[in-house]
Amino acid sequence: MSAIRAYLKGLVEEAKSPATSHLPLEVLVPSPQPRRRFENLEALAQSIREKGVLQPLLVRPLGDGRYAIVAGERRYRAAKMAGLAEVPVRVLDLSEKEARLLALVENLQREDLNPYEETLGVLELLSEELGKTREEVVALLHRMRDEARGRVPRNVSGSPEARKVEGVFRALARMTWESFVRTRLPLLGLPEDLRAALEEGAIPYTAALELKRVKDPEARARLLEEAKGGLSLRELKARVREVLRKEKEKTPYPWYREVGERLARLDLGSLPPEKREALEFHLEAIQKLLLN
Amino acid sequence: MRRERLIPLLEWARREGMSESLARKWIREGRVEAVRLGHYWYIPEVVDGPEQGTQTYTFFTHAGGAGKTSLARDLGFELASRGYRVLLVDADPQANLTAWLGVDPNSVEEEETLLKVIRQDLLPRPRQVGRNLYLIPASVNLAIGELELDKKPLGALALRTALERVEGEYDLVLVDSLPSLGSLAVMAALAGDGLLVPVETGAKGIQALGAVIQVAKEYREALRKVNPEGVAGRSHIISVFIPTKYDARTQGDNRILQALGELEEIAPVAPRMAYRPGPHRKATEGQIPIQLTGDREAAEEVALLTDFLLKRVFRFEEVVA
Repeated sequence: MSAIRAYLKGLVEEAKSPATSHLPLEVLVPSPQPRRRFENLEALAQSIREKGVLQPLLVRPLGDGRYAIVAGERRYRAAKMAGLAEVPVRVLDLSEKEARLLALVENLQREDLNPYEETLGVLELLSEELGKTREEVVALLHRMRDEARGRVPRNVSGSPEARKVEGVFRALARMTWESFVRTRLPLLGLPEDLRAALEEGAIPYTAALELKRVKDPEARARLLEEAKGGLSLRELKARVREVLRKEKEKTPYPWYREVGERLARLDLGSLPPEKREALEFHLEAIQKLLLN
Repeated sequence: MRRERLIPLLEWARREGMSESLARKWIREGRVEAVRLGHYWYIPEVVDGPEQGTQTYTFFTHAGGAGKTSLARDLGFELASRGYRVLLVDADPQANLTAWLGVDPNSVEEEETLLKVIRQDLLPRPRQVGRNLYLIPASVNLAIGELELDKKPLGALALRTALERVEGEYDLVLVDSLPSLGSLAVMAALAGDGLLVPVETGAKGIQALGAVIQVAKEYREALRKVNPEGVAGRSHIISVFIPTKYDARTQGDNRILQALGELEEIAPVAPRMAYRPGPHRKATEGQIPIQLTGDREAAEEVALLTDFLLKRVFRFEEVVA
């Protein structure tokens, strides 16, 4: 008999949730999401004023009469600007986790996220899927790359986690995990100036990665201005090479490293005895010094 | 506005401070005007009632035998006798409501039925079937209307539009829908302000609820376009659930009735109507409402339900004595 009660309770839920419908703006609650900035809102608001919101927002019930926006925060903000009272919505019955995944996928499938936002979004999606922190995900991705290159023994590749990672990238249909590791992960370590330029859309991510190699802030600022001015990637690479060579000349290669390199190639057994004894004597002294 | 109410003889006698037998004597002597309906005498009384708009409700469920037609007849009579001007609309080609109110469905012309609404967008002139009580009858030919409705643009709103033209002529319009989810049933459901949903107290009634709630949400969306204020803040158009055919002797019905309380979160749940095969047969055979069959409990039950609906659903200003 409690089955009947449960069935009726289900009906109550069903009856309370609106179908594809309209909801007043004040019951909608934005949720945290990968998009960091909202540009061209005024243009969208203008189009909404003229034609209304054409595509329903995806929302999920919070159970208290309010609804969390799963997808469509930009439309929500623009509708507010346009002075609308209600917007078309599609109500989805989702858990919080499912909703976050859906929001991430929905956002990633659009064209207008910048590469930095996209990278953060993909990482968030992966950490959600795998139940790991972002740092752990980055470490896992690096490990997968190193194994694929044969640098380290295979412990991770082929594991369920790695397969999940591959699955996520297949689902996104944007890029392979290899190219993500190669071209996108480095964006995370960008210095502040480059990240700002990237978020503004002032430079492509390839230029940002190239500029990242220049450690000297003054030189980098100069090159960044040039890149913003529309320097081609090929020209930029040439400039960066030039700057790096100059930097290298300024700081000559330390002589003791050269000693180390020579030592690595050394075959003591092939030396004449006196020279060998003298070397062994000095090396023992160096070893003692280094060990203490 | 002048309205006529029917006061049960016993109540009238008490109010006048005389015994029932004296009141009956007065009736015999013609000193007081009275009408005999079924088992009982009533004293008609003209009162001044407030001017107010028409409210329209549809008895709706696609499950057969839930009690739509009995409720339409009994509530229609009860409300009419309390002074409300009531129009009953028979939207079911089976024409049970028509027959039970004493109109022979074979005598009904097509232009008297909803076919006129479907074909000409006009409400037919109703038949008067009692004091304050009017009927738009049905006949078996109404079934053709289902096919014609499918071809008619905005046919789903035809009855609603036609009723808008007689706004104010009645206090209450009650539409008796047919056990289906077809286009006639949609037209009936969209005619008014909400659905009165009879729920048979049993597994069958419970099972039917899923589809009823689903379509009630779709109808809400359809009505949002024509009457945004009417449906604002609601996700469906169910106005009340009425548990019917409740059999107090069975354990199962008791448990189900209790569980039905859950529905209160969707819409008010009315007091239950008991399973009364005897009085029910007597009423249909005698072509009278169940209140007039002489079964006191049945009459009390209808009165109780009417009180509930007036308070929780219809919300009229009272017709004062």
